[in-house]
Amino acid sequence: MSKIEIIQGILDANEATATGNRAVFDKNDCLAVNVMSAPGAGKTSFILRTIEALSADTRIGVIEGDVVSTVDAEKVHDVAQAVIQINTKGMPESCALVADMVHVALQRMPIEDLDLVLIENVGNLLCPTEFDLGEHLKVVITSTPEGHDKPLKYPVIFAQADALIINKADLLPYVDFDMEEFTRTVRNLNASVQFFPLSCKTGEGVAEWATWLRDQRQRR
Amino acid sequence: MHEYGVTESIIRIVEDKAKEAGVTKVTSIHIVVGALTGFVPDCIRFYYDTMSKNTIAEGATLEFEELPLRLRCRSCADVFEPITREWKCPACGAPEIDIEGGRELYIKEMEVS
Repeated sequence: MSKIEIIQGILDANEATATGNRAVFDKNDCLAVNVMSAPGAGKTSFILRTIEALSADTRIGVIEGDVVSTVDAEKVHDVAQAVIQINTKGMPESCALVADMVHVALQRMPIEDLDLVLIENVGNLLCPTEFDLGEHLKVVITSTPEGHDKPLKYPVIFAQADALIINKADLLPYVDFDMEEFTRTVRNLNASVQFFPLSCKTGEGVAEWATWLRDQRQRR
Repeated sequence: MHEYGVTESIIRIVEDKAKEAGVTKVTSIHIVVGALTGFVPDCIRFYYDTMSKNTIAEGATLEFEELPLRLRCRSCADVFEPITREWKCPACGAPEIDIEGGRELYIKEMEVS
């Protein structure tokens, strides 16, 4: 009986694939954004609004992750340059996208003709934090009816976010969402995150987000 | 929920290392899991029993070592393990922190025969 030292990350293979994905995005001068939220926060509506705001001068592809169904991909199909649907049901990870799924999607995407790829992750605030996809930016959406205490329950995803979208801002008069408390809690976990309160229903606040995203692309 | 893929990964790493070392049987695997990861040891054990069948690591004991959540104060750089749900620096009282540890997930060593 003897011991063998290993010291190897169990997710190293995912990270290696993610690094490969990032290299593909970089080579094609394409900004990749991982969009994450709980189910129902408005990821697809947010992607549709983002495409609407940027499509005049930005070629946008979308990777749609869902456990089952193609309803989100169908919604995005008419407005995006390219849409690839990934269904995670029956895959080793069904609760989040992993780098290999994005790798496969990229082979079916005209990446050289795209400036921006929006990756809609599976609705979940926990599992997506473990899997780097090769994105450049992590965007997390919280919607006001979910409550301002979400960052205390799921600190990692809020600590990782580059941008935080506070969706359904039009409902603020009707729900008990304390914006100040929310932004303070997130700020305590994440010094550099950018906040964007907006409403995908009314379109209010979308322009500010779109300007920031366009700026992020130009900086690369 | 994503333990299936993680278990698959554990078996692959152990098989590779065992082959490299020229051993024929892995009897235990020591896995380090941070308190803040979403991975559930019992769930990994459950998958492992089935997935390790007919591999060099079939029947190996999985030992999990949990590393605590550690936070670093952005004001005074003190590193601490929070006791309550409120993540405040015990040294200076500041609430602004960075997550320093607790997200680990790696195989430390294995016992072979």
